[in-house]
Amino acid sequence: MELVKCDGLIKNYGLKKALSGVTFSLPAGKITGLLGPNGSGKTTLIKILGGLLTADGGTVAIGGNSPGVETKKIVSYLPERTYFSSAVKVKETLDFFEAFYEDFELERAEEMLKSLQISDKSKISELSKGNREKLQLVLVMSRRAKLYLLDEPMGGVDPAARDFILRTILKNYAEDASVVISTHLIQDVEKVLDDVIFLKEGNICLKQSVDELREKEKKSVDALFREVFQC
Amino acid sequence: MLGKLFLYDMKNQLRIWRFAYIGILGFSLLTALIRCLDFKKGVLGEIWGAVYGVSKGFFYAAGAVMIFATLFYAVLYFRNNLLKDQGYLMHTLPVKESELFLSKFLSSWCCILLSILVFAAGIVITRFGTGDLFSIIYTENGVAKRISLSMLFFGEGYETPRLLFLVIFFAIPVNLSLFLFSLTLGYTMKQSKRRMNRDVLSVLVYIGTYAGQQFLGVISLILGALLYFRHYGTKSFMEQILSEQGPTAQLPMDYFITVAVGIDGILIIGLAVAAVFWSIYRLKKYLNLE
Repeated sequence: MELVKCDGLIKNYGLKKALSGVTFSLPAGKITGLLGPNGSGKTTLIKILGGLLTADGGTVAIGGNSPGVETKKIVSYLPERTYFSSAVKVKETLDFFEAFYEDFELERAEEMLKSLQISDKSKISELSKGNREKLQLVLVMSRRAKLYLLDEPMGGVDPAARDFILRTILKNYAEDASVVISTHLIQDVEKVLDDVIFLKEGNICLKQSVDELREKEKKSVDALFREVFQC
Repeated sequence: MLGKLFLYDMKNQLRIWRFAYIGILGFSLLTALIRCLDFKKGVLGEIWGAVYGVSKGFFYAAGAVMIFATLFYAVLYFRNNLLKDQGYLMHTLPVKESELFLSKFLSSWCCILLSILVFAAGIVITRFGTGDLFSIIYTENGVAKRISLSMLFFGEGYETPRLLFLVIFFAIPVNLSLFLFSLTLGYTMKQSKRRMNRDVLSVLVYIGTYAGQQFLGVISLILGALLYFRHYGTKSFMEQILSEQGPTAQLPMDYFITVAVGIDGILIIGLAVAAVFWSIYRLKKYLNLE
C-alpha cells in the first residue's frame, strides 16, 4: 500500500527551480534514502512532505491526505537544524512532545536520553551541538509515527554519533512505518536502506530498491552515486 | 489544543518578563519607602526630595519601557517561534494554523496586559503613605488627564478607566494584529525575481498597513464631515437661512469629532480583523520556511 504519493511536484525559489515535476510513491514499511548532492532538492521535498513548504504545483498525499493536521499526526519530522529555544530544559521538550503528540512514548524517550547521559534537568543551551541533535532525534524517534522524515540526520556529527543515530533509527521505527532519510553520507546509511531515490537538479534520476540496484549494476549505492553525480 | 498552545506561549514569554515584574514591583516599593522616610525640612529634606523625584521618575520610565518592550518582544517571539527555526517545531505540530496564530496573539495580548497591570500595581505601591492610593488610576485627575490624546478626543474630565479600556481592547489588539500580519505577509510573500530580506519586507508591509490606517482616518473625516454638514444646503437649512432667525438646528462640533473617531475606530477594527484572517490564510496556504 502506498503511504506517500507525489505527482508532478514543482517548487521554485525566485528564479531558481528547486523541484521540477517530481513524481514518486513510497510504500509502507520501507526505509528510503533520498540521495543527491547539495542543492538537488532533498530538503525542499522533505519540507513539502512535512507541511513546512507549499508546492508551487503538483499534488502530495500522505496516507491519502494532503499535508495538514491529519498528516502531521502520522508524520514525525527531523529537520536539519535545531528548533528548540536555548532557554528551555530537556524535561520541557519531553513534556511538550507528550502534550502535543498522542503517539509519543515518554518512557522510551527517557530511556534513550539516559543511555546518552543527557540529564532532563539540563538546559538546551548547556548541551553540545551533537547532543542537541541527538535529543531531537530521540524525540522524533520516540513517536509511533507512520512516516519518519529525517533530513540530514547525520550531518555534522562524528562517526561514533552516526552509528548511534543509525541504531536509534533502526531500533525505534515500527515495522509498518516508513522512513525517508535525506543525506549525502551514503556509505553510512547504505546498509540500512531498502530503496533509494536519486535527486538531481530537482528531478528524480533514479528510484530503485537497493537489492535490485546492487544486482543490476554490480556496485554499491555509494559507488553508483559517485558515478552519477561526478563533477 | 489552543489551550495547550496558549499555556506554552505564555510560559515562554513570561520566562523573561517575570524578572522585569519583580524588578518593577521591587523598585516601586523602594520609591514608596523613600517617600515614607522623607525628611520634611532642611538641606537633607531637599536632597531626600530630589532622591525621591529621581526614583519616581526612573520608576515611571522603567514601567513605560517595560510595556513597550513587552509589545516588541511579543512581535519578536511571533517571528522566531513561527517564521524562523522554531517554526520547524511549531508547524509540524498536529494543530491548525489558526490555533498557532491565535495562541501567539492571545498570549502576547495577555502579557502586555500583565505588564500594564504590574505597572499599575507599582504605581499604587509608590503611593503608600499618601492616603491616596488609587486616585491616580481611576479619577479624572489621574493619568488620563495628563495624556493629551484623551483630552483631544474626549475633552477635560475624561476618566482613566475609559482610556485604559480603549488601550486594552482597541489600541493593543489592533496594533498587535497589524504587526503580526506584517510579519506573516513579509515571510510568506512570494518573490519571483529579486529576493529581499524577509524582515525588510515585513517592515515595508507594516508601512503599507500604517498608510492604510491613515487612509481610513481620512475617509472617516470625510464621512464625519458629510454627516455633520448634511443639513447644509437642504431645503430646511435654506429656509432657516432665508428667515431672519438664521439656522438653529446646527450640531455641536463634538458631534463631528465623535462621528469621525467612531467611523475610524470601526474601520480600523475591520482592518485588524481582516489582518488576522488574512494572516491565518497566508500561514495555511503559503507557508515557506526556507
